Amino acid sequence: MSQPTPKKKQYLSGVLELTSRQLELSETQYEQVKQRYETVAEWIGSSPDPRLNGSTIYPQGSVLLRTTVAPIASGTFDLDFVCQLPTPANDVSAATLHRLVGDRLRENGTYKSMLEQKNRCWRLNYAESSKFHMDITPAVHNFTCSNGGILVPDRELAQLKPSNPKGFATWVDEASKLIPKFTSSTRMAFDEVFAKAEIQPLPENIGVHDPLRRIIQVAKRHRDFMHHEGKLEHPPISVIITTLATHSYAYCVRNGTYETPWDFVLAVLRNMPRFILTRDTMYGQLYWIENPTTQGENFADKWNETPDKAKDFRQWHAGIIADFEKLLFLDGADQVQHHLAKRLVGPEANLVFSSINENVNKARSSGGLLAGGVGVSVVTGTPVRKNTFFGG
Amino acid sequence: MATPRLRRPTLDQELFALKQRTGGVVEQYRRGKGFRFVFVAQPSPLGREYQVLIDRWDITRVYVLEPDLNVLAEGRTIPHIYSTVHDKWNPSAVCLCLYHPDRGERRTGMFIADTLVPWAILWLYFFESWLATNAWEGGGEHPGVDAAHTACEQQPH
Repeated sequence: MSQPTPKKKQYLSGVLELTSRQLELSETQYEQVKQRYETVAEWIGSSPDPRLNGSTIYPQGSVLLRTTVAPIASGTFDLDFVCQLPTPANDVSAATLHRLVGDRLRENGTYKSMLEQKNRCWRLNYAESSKFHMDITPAVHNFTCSNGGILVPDRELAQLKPSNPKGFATWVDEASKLIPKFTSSTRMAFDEVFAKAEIQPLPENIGVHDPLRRIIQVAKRHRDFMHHEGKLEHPPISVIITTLATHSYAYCVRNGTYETPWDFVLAVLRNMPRFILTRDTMYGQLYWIENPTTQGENFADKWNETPDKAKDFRQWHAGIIADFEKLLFLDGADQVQHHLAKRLVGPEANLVFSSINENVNKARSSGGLLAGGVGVSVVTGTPVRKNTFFGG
Repeated sequence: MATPRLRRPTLDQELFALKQRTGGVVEQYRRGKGFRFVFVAQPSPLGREYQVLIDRWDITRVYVLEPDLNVLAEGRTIPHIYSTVHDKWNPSAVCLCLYHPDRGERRTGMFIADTLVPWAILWLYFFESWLATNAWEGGGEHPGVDAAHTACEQQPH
């Protein structure tokens, strides 16, 4: 039975990295998305209505954070944007703000046919051509916020409430730059070596390139997967996962050293619930997950309305820890692949392993494949001479 | 000038290279005749540990002693093995087919440690992949069973 060695953990880190790359919006898709929303911004911003004229559109949520994850069944990304109007907040109500943007979009024949009204945003459906939805939330500048925040309509379109997507993204980004300390000689990334040799790296030496973002992506996908399997009635919302992961990441970097990136990832996941605050009030115990960049915004407010949501968070969390820990004790790459496909990631896991095989074969045909104590490798071992498996 | 003829490695030379490369053990040795050498191979850090036997006499064969590959395969036909070849002492062990006999992939002068050992590890890597997906992604060819058997019989050490 194989013990969880540092090499195994390092390899799993590489598989994690490759999995995230498989799940996220590709560079090409990002470019496509950018072109689309800039075109929409052109249209809205060129409106003769002075309240709309000069509006801009920018990404928020996973697009801005760069933590996109393909949805499981549909394969259509839900991408979030802010359409910021130059109008002063006093001059426009929540309902009007919402209506203004919708009306302008409807004035355009193309957008009219793609348009769908949501509670407080407008959806443009690019699913056919480009496999994504663009959810546009109208907003105005929040002059009372010293952090550059905005005001957006609430769900009922009754009031404007504060939000700060850019501030939030900056907060996550700052945290992501913190670098954890490792005790084993494993490193986080080996890109430089392989760029020169033109040999594709294998999971043994890929490392994890942007650990906070990778953790958020894998956590979101695991949540989607559990929900898809019917195990979560109330899947935890992405902003809660992102906020807790970011707090935990910073905490773990500052408070520990880890043998390998894998151990660090596990520590970050384990410590997420630490940052759910509870307050005793006269209504009983309430949950509080503060938006670190918008005063008074509680991401867990819905948990206080529906206690089952808190319960489902705990269930999801227990699930991801168990599913992650299990990986270390599985025997055989096939078992790991099955587990990833059936419990953690979904069918994309098979694509990840296929791409690893492709790189093994590329190394093989270029004479760069080695084999030895840690199996097939591009780093260490005896050169594998050309062979043709025969027989059968 | 003619290229110098490569000498076939002696048994001792083969064993030295094998021990050094794999850390395995000699199970049997007959001076001038052959040996049985067993080592542990792990195809990747995620992979299982397999006990591999190099059975080197007039003909050299490679077997996986443990775990039982047919049990792992759950009844599916394992690709790239010599299904009719069996080890007297380990009848359920699977005999691996690691190279094409007519392509000069294994030539006089090459050490087992440089050929069969890396190929066995690679075979095990694709075997685990095949277990998960039922597709053999390591390339190769399938002749008829008899043709393979005959070709194998004709191989040099």
